[in-house]
Amino acid sequence: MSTYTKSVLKIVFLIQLFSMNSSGQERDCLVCTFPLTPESLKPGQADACEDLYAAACVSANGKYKYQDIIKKEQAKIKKPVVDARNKAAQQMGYKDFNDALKSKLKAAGLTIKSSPDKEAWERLVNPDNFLSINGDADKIYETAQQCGKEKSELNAIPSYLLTEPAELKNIVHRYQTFQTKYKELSIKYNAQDIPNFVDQFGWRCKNLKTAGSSLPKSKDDPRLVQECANIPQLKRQETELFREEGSEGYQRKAEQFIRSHIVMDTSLGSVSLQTPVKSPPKSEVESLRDKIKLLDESITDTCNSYDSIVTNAGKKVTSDLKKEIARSRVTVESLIDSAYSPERQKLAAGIAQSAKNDIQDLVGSLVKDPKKRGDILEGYGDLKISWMQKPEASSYTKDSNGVEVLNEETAGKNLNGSARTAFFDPELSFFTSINAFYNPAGSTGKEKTDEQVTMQPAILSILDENPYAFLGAIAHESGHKIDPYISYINGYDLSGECEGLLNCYRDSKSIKLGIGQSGETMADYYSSEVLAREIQKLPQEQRKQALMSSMEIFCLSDVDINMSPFNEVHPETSLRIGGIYGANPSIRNVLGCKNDSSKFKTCGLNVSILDAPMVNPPTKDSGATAAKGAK
Amino acid sequence: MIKLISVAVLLLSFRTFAEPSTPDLLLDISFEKNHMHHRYSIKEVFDKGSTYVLSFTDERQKTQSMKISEDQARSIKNRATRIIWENLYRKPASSTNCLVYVTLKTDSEQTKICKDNAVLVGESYGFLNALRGAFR
Ligand SMILES: [Zn+2]
Repeated sequence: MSTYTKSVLKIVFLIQLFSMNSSGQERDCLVCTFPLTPESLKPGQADACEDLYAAACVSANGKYKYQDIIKKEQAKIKKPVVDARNKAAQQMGYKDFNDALKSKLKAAGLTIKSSPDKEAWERLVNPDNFLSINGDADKIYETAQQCGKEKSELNAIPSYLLTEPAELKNIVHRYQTFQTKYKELSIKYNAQDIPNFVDQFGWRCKNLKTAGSSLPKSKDDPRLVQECANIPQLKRQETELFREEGSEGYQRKAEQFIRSHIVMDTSLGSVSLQTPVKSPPKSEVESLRDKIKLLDESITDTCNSYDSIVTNAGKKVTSDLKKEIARSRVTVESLIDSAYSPERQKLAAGIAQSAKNDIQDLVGSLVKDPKKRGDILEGYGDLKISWMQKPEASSYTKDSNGVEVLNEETAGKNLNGSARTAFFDPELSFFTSINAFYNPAGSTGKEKTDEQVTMQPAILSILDENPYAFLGAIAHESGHKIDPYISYINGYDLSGECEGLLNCYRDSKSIKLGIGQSGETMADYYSSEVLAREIQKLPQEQRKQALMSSMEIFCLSDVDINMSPFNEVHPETSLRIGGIYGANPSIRNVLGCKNDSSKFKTCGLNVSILDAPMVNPPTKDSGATAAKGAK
Repeated sequence: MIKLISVAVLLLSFRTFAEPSTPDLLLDISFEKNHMHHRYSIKEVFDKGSTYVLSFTDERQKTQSMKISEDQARSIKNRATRIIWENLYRKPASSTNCLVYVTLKTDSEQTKICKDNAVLVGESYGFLNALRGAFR
């Protein structure tokens, strides 16, 4: 859908909303004052009462509704990090982050080509997919491209046409000069990252052994075998060098270490060529031609090895710069300003309060034991949403480049919550993963942590345009407080109260709940109850769209890979949406669904919500866990 | 697409396990948070030359695997090595009251990153995040 159409839809909706408000139907519903998403207004593949997933996430033509906007959403989520890095780079005296990186690479001897491959450069700066990281050296760096060029020139020499030994010797010399040049450069780049060098060397030693045998292969270079045997003795020197990294004189020492102790990859070293043992004596010209043939084959490996050394060196420089920038005061403050504004805080707190009120309402009818019920209701009063604060000026120190950065030594003590660690991740992924979590009260090391809900910045950014989705997410996280596992940790075991409903979800006509999914499923269920309570405050004709809007994060996560590492294992998205949210009797009542879905069994607790019209009366076989309908 | 690859790799590694040579464990990362246990590993499997398999086991003990290239295996292992070295050789790991955030192990070294080490917890978080991203 075009931006234009979207804008028109937004305007149309705002007009509708306005008329709704003026007619007095809206009752104390914070999210109800916001427009619905354009995607929720697109016709879906099914009706929300039949299959909420197919209605909310899939278009009538079978395409994902959010497919077209996923790139834009990803860019929007990453923008604060991109902006913060540019700002920090500017403060360091560069034009922007790219300019800073180019300059740092150049200082490390890695000059960028005049027009580097755009995609390869992007993969270096913002590695989207962790695994698409290699083979880019000649697309980015002059030196790697040069290796390929020189190799091709050597390969093109028609040495088989030459008959003069002097000419052939001259060619051998050219090959050897080529190899020496790239050997020297390799030493320089390897020296910049000793742990990597040691790792790669270990890899070569590992390859000496044939599978299942500790004996070296007969063709193994005996010097390499010897050096591999010496590895344990070199460790002390390596770690000393590692500690000195970045200091004056380090580079020279590291190069010297590599030169004196380690056998370079033969493809990078001067090849000592042995004449095959059994061949008949050859003329000088023949011998020289043989030698050239071998050299000609080996230089392909020279550039391949060199490419990976250059790639690694480039990644090291990039990672070092990202580390410095991530912890710089400019980045820290810029990211906190953009994600944690006072306006957002007010809105988030208001929506969190709605979710808590609704869960408390639900707990009123779910928990019969008065002591437990009292504890939970009181506990919800204290549940906070974490809000990152700017570290105090004393948390920073100047690094060796004069940049004001978070002080490593005191970070553990001075910084709180997610800020303690988020800025020490060079990728700043805390700010770009679409994730949220609930933490029960506990202790991390020496520090006590409060019970709290954390909505990461990517989810906070959704708040601005789609607070319905934010409501669903914060209700899910707040619901974890009373899921069957965490309720036990919190001192009021609700596993008994949840069991009937979980049994309903285990049914083959429901989501076929798997082992370990109960906590997540109950959190989704509580979230669906919250949504039912808020959405029913809208006029009937807008409720389906509002519910579909609230599913945006789920729909996006179905098309997007940029989710979080710690996202607990949930049932599949289509089951979560269709089988938990869409099959909740409170939701179905609020939407005005006439019958049960043919796709998912209706599953919900026997709870009532005020004012929802009863459209789905209980059936005889629905048992304790199926819908009893609202009053 | 990723799912298809995983299935293919699982079948492949299964077949290889049945053969006499055992795969070498090159990298093993173990992470626990809120009673959830995640594990990542890289194994070198010998089957007409070496192949590398990156696996992820979630808290339900469900394992997903994918074949990766030698370059990718080296690059992932190197990122782990750097964190291990920073923990072992730059600042001695705090030995008292270490609440473990993540355990990193390669074929030659291993270390535990303690939760009170804010810097390395942050770096490991980014690393884990990237590894997790490979399985989506
Ligand atoms: Zn959850």
